[in-house]
Amino acid sequence: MSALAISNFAIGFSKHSGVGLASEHEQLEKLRKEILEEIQKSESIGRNIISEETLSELKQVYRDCSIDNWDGYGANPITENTYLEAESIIEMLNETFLNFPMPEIVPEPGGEIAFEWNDDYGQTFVFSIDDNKTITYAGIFGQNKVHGTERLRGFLPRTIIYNLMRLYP
Amino acid sequence: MPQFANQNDILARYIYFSRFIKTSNRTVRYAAFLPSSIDNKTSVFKITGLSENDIWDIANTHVTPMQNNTLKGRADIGSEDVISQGLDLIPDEHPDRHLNITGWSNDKSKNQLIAQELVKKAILYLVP
Repeated sequence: MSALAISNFAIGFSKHSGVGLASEHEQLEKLRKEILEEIQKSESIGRNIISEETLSELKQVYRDCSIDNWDGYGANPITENTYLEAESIIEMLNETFLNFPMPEIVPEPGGEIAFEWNDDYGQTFVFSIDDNKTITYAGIFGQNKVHGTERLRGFLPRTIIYNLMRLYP
Repeated sequence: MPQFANQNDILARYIYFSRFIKTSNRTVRYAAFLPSSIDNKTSVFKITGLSENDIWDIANTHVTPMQNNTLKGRADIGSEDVISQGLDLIPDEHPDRHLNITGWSNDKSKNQLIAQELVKKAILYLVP
């Protein structure tokens, strides 16, 4: 349950109830805010742990795929630039605080690093980054399919966020 | 003699990179089917009618000797599933049963989508 959902119902009183004397209401409101801050802190810690794991996975992929022909079929090596761009993307994903999990990291034969999500209904969304800040994405949402390119300009393009929210509404 | 594929044939994509295999649910990742950056083709073998031993022998004889990595598994897919994505299957002179999936787009995002469609139809077999 998200901190937002809990915040409206802390200790059984709606924050809009206005029930009770003014001083009691103020105390309850103060307590509600303290509880909310603690919940947000723990959610943030949890998310940071997960993003650290993803960063660790990314580093391992870079190590495995920074050589020629890493897939046995002539794959291009992942460059340091691509790795650094991918690292910044993970930080951006971590900072969105939207309700979707960290991706799986997938190297592509062209030397790109991709981020992949799959849900339990067969829907899938992938986007990759190369060392020229080009994002390439594709997704299957039931009968609907999407693909295209965007530029990475210091923040995740709205198209990427929108498609992730299709998977994790 | 090049072997053409008809619509009922089964093709095998041999996999030498462990991250292309999702062990959690025994599926293959879309990137395993993306074309080579060298020639924009995806190398496969026609395995219709072969025994499991013969299928693995093809990799051991014709593919693995040219690899730096060990064979991890293979992804089987029907030739009809490949062609239905607008791709072509072009046979090689050598080795026997070798074909290339060609006709990939110049648009990488389109290729990502096609590869995602292919893995939905592919069946993963791990090396015994």
